Amino acid sequence: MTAPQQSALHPAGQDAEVIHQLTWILSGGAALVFVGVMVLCVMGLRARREVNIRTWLLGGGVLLPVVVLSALMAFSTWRTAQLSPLSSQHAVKIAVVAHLWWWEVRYTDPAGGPDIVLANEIRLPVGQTVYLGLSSADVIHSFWVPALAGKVDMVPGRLHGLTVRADKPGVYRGQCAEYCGEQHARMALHVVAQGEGEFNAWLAAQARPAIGANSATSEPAAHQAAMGAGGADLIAVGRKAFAAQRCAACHVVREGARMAGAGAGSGGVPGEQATLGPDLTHVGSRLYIGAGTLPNSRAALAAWIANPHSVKPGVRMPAGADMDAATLAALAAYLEQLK
Amino acid sequence: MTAPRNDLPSSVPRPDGELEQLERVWRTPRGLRFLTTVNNTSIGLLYIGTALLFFLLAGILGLMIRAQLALPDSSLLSPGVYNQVFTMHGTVMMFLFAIPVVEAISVFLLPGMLGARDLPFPRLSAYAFWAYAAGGIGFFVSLFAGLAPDGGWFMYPPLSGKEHSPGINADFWLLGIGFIEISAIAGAIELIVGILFTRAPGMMLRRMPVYAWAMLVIALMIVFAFPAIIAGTALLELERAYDWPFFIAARGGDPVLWQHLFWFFGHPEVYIIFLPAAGMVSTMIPSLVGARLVGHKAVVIALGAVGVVSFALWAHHMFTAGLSLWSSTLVSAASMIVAVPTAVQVFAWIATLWRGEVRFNAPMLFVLGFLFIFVLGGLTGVMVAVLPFDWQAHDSYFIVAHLHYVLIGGLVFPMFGALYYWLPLVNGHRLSERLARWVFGLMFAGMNLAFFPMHISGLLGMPRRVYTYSTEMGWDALNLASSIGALHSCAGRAAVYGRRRAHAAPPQAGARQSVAGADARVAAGRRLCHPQHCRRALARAAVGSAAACRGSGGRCALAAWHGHRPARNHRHQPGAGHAAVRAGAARRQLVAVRRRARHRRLLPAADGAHDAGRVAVRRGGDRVGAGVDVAVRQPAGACRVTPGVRGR
Repeated sequence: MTAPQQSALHPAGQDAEVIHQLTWILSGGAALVFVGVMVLCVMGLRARREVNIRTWLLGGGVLLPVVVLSALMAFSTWRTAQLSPLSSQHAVKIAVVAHLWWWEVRYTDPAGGPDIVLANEIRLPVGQTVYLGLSSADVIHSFWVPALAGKVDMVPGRLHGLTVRADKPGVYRGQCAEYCGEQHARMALHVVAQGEGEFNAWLAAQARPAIGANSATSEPAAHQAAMGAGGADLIAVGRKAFAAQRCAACHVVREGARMAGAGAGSGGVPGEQATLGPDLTHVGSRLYIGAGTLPNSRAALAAWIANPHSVKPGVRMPAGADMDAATLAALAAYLEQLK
Repeated sequence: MTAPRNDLPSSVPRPDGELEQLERVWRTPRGLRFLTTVNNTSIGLLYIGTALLFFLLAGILGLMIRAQLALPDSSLLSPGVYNQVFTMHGTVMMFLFAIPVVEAISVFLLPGMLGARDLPFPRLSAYAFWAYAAGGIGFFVSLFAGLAPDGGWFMYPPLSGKEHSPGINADFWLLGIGFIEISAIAGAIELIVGILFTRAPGMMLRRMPVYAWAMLVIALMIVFAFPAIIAGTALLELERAYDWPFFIAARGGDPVLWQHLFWFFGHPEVYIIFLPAAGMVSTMIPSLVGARLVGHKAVVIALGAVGVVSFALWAHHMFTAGLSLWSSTLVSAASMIVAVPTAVQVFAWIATLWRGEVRFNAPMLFVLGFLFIFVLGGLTGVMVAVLPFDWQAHDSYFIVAHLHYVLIGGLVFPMFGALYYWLPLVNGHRLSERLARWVFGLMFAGMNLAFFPMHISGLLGMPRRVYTYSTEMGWDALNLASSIGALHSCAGRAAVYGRRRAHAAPPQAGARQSVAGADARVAAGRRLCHPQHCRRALARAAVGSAAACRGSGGRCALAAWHGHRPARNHRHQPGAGHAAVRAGAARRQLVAVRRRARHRRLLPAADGAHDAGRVAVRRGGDRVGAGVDVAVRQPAGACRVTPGVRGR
């Protein structure tokens, strides 16, 4: 997989395309004016000559900027009106809640079930309008996926909206753009734009509870075959460790009606889950862990659980380095297979 | 009783011991008692020195930032330390360097330019300085205790609230900035009263030097803008200390309120920093190129217009904060409108370059560097005024590039030009011209290398205030270039600090008697004058700075800038000689001023052969009252008096 784009100069959506075009027009215009002014400046360096004050001050100082800027204002207002209107009608609706320093992503279940909750990754159907409801659970963050659209701040107590449309399939990186404390730099999310069929299948899978959680028998045969009997044991050990290490105090793994080792108080009510940390029901399916910090793999999961502070100092998750290596490996294996 | 002197306006006999008493009162205290000084020259120097110290310290912090970001995934600084460092870099640069230095320079320069003996409330300026020094140093040392604020220089709550910043770091910020705000307002009141009420007789507002106009405008802006930030800091401290939830959304507060309060101050602040520099440029360019400023009146109107419009722009820092499209569009339009008066000034400067003759001495280099950098920064400013573009560029490195172009171009380069230009007023010395070329070259090239690539890294998606980035983002080369540039730029600045007195006095600079501050010093410290009388004499000396310079027989400290071109270039403007003849009244007045001033030994006597005919006041209507501008209304070169010149 090539590195996901996080660039306003490589647009992949309608709005970003408009802004990209505007960027080049503005840069070109600015360069032109700059060169013009500098040429005038250089021409003034040697010769002593008479100047017509009116030409310089009224022509250059007033008329030129007024004409150029009026044209620019008209053009930019016209282009702004062509950006996708802010509306959740006929759009895929996704809520994004920013936390220190990760993103909670909630999809409305098309089947009418409780919200489908995941973290740090958004998937979109290509060519469809998507409405993002943006809010924050703590401090001000800013939602910025440059390849799709400009940024919108996520302010506590307010709900901001953003409509985006991805026109090309691909993975686009986004990053918090409003300084939000110690780990502002490691608060990224990935937007995966994929075909509609693929997206629907993915969403349906995300809506399902975690597989292989309650017993080995619920695992699909193919999966079990791939893992082998030893793998199943490992996963069972990992699942126990998840409960024993109190991971569920902050993280949720949905297992049907029950949560794996659901924290006291969260009581297993769907939709009313602990949100101190990202929902891990399908963590294995995500591209990255730690809000874009590490590419997802079993080794990365183990390293992260052992000491998240080595790669993301200050992250709220406590280090699990006092776990023995076997438990750690089992826990990582358990999480990795939560596809 | 000494005999009445007929050259004094009052014929009342002079009391005994007048001279001794006056000298005692005006003597600059020595040793530790120097700290009790209230004279504007001494306070001005302390003030400038302290501001430059903070400039140096904040520069070092900036280098630490660039060192951390030079390589991807660097672990030079921990994120916690990095966040303190960038917060302090921004806060110190804005609050402890930029605003204080513009007030400091005016405390030093302005009374002399206005022909006043001192600022109207010397103790208030001393208070402003000490409040600033105490607040600033106390604030800065918090860094060494690891208790520096880490919420960014605009300290957005809720991040800076008690819940998310439980330490006393943010309190240091609020307290330190509180001191600076009070100091700035004290200084502003002083400047307003000084400019409006202590000008030399005959210096009407419309003849006031452009620099004084700029200071009047920004002092008024400070008085209107700073209360907003004082209110903001007070509310935030009340929230932090007494749990009054002004900015906590869950309890009925609103974090966006802080943004409004902060930027209502924060945006005018940018112009509070830039306009004095623009005023200095408007003052320096004419004398450096030996031509009158093009459109004096237009430039003054432009200064005022910028001051007014800048209060309508604050929300352009909040285009992504969820304001309505309608209000954002209005602010976007206002942000473009402010480019018009700024363009008027830029074109006035360039037209003055056309009109005059550019010599590449140190101040000129910095002025030209300023034009290059500031125009570029201004144009990217127009770009980010366009709403959709700002939605991408906001809070990215593009903004970091833009703001550094505007502030380094709009303050640092003019300030260095001014340092080279006015330093002779401080100690009669100029800095080395040769070294100046190095300083300028390193600063200019380094600055562009450091900040130009940031435009690109910003558009490639790099958000500001990140302590690190991964190599897969493709920002490595741009960041490395920025870091190398920052190092060069700082090397250039360090060169100035390194060789303060690099250059011996210029051959002709034996006397300090000249314009502005030097006159004030001379009179304040050494001359016996009846206060009223002294003020007038000074006023005339300041007003007739050209005369002062010319009359100094080449000993004027600023003669170097007023014209030290080769003799073959000594030519009047076409028709200037005739104009001089036509300018009868003005000329006679100027000559009279000079004669009187010389009589009082405010100005050294020059050989009288060359006075009258050489005063080339180009327009009959121009009168002496036009302040410093007079200096440049003469053909350049008239200043240095040589036998060869005299013969013409």
